[in-house]
Amino acid sequence: MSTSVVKESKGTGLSLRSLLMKSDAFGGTALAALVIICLVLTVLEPQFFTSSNLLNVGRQAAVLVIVSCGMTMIILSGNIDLSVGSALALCAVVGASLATAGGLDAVSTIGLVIALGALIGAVKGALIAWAGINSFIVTLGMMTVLRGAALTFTGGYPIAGVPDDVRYLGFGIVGGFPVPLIVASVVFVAVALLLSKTVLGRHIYAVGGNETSSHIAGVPVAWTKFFTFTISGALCGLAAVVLLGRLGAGLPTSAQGLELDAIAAVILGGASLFGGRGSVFGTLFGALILAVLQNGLNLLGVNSFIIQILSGTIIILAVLLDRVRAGSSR
Amino acid sequence: MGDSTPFVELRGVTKRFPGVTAARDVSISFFRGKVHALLGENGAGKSTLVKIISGIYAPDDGQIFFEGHPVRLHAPVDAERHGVAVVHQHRTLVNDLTVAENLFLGQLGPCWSVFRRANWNSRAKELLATVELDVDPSTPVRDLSPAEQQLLEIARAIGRNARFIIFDEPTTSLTPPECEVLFAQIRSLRERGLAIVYISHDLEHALALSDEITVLRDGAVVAHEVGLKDVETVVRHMIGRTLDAGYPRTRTASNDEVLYVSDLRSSRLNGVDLQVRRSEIVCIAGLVGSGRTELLRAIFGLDRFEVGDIRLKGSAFTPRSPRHSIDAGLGFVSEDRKQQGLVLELGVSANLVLGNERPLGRLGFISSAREKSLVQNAIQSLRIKASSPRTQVGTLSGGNQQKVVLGRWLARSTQLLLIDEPTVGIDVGARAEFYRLLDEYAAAGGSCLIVSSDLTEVLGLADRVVVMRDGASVAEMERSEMNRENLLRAMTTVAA
Ligand SMILES: Nc1ncnc2c1ncn2[C@@H]1O[C@H](COP(=O)(O)OP(=O)(O)OP(=O)(O)O)[C@@H](O)[C@H]1O
Ligand SMILES: [Mg+2]
Repeated sequence: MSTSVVKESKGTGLSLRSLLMKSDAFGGTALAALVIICLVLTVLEPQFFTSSNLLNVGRQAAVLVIVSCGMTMIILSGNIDLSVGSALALCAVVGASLATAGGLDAVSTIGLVIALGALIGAVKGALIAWAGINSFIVTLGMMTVLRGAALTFTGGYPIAGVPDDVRYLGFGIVGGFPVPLIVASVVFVAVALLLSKTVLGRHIYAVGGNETSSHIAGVPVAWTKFFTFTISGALCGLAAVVLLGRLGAGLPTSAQGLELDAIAAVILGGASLFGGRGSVFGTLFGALILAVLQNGLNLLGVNSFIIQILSGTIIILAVLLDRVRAGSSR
Repeated sequence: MGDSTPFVELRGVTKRFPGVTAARDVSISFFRGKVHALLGENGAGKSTLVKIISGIYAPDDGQIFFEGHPVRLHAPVDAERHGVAVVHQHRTLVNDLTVAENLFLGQLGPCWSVFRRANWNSRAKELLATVELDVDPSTPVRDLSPAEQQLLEIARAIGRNARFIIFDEPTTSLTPPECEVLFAQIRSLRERGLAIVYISHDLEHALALSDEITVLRDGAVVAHEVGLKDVETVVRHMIGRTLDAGYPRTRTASNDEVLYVSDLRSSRLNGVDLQVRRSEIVCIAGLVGSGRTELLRAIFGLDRFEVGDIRLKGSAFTPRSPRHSIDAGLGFVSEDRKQQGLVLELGVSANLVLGNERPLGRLGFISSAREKSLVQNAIQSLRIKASSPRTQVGTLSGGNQQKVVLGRWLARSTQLLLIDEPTVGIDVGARAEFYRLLDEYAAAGGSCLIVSSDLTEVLGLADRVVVMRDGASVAEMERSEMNRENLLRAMTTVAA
């Protein structure tokens, strides 16, 4: 009997150890940081740890989480996308116009917006995969092209009056739960499964880790990049629908700087900017850190300019912490 | 004076990694004026010791003494200050910089000082002369042959006043004449009173060169001998048993032609003709730079060729991409496993199935049960030493990394494997194992086209040899005509 106990404790010891080992890839640092930030905010501000406020954080974080999941795939594949904010704005205004002036029903509108997002992603992906242009350059260009397109499309004005059924994904509530939170959770699970269980996911890690080796091993490198950008683009379209629901209007100037928040969330989550290393779990924690900080500091009445300074500092500190930890295991 | 004090001494050094103990209570002394060979199987812990001595890893336990004084090395610069230099298996030179710049990189003075090219070039000439390397200091390093780069690394070590030089598998991808040049240099370093550590899987070379040897197994010292010249004894120390003669031959070559190449020409190839038949192992011999790698790359669709015909099993074949070649039944193992074989961040398992995931699953999902069984098979049949299938490939020892690349292709249904330097960095035991696997593969109907700089391997393995020189195939020998002299003559004769 005593042997079985010993075995058991040894078993858990081992799994705990391997869990800690793996926790790096799963954003262990980010999770720890998130917990600490939440604890501090709970102590400082009783309002913070209430269910209504937490649901509110979730609602606000939904767009960022959805976009960041796509960004994780892109960064893991060794690329970057600077144009997600602009793509989202274009999708949102097109969606708003389809639903109002176009008079389309909710399902078609949502479907078309997601399709538009996927199309935009596919164009970027094709340029990167087959024309061989660096993703930084392609998406830097796309950032202004798409923003310009959104502004041109609306003449610079917001398109208001989006009907409630179209707004459901960003605005609705099911059993006390905000729908956007559910949408974000579904996206998160889907991307986590895609990355860990599918051939495409495996190829994304492989291409990001070593493109030449992958190419020689017969991995369809170009298609992998193309699908990565297309899927991420579709997620941008979905995020646009959620944003549209929350705001009730399509704003050509919305989601400015979203690309930087998404990249920050991925990096906070422990991914390597050079690809091949990281996970969507880390990204989730990273995105939540950004959302919680924003919300908590708001509650504390901190000036929004100061919040910017603090958010940026936290990003650098988190990555620094990771470096120090990696260095100490020499 | 000091001759009885070792220049470097390890006492009870232990280093653990998750799942493995790479060094286990190791005590070794290295003396001035001696070449000390460190031998052992893949993963025995040789490179780990090198990294401890050169300050890259900190030992978990034990002490390091330099000239009798205990020291703690916090970073590679500490070791360098004590006169330690390492000539790594993978080159550490910067390709785009010149010979002179590489020699003095990091010693050019503070970053605001003016770089006086002429000055450095003349200092470089002096240093190059000490290793008898006759190149212009202002040539970019990429234009040097691998052997010249190797000598340049030695010159750099001497230029930094190294008194203790570690060679970690320096002869891989050097041809016999080039090896001789290197050995002559190592001997002259010994004459000058440096302490030398020499690590190699080429046991004959290692024994010929060394004054004493230490054999490691699973991180621990299992033997230390002075003046031993007997390979068999070393092998027994290394793997705990003797090996039977290395090159099994159960295959019988048929007459069916699998690959036919005629007058292949590209920027680096000047007319190559060859055939490979079913169940045949054909080796390509030639000096470094003779176009051997380029030939394999062209056949596999990695490089374009301008003129020439390739036929696969009788039908015309124009390789378009690796994917296309793989579908046609080809496989390719590059000589550079880190850059062109593995994805170092991924696990052993993911690397073994890389590019071949589709048959393992359904609807784009990978079945982990099927992956596990395939991977388990490969790990067992190739005796890959990894603490788990999920272990990052980048942390495996060099030889085990090579086995992973090979395992990937052996697990796929290929008909012709193109292999560039198959046993680079592989230990004797695994090498024999690998030759057996290749023979098995050929006996089952596969064919191999193998580039190798190791003539012993070529002579043992090949059913036929094609010799290349200056990008062209210049000679072909059947097994009966093959011998070292013939091969060397064909490889080196200056084209008339
Ligand atoms: N950074 C690391 N993390 C985890 N394990 C490691 C690391 N470095 C080495 N190891 C493990 O330590 C053991 C010894 O490796 P080492 O590279 O020293 O072997 P080696 O004798 O040089 O082998 P080879 O002849 O194949 O180069 C191996 O099992 C290897 O997987
Ligand atoms: Mg090694």
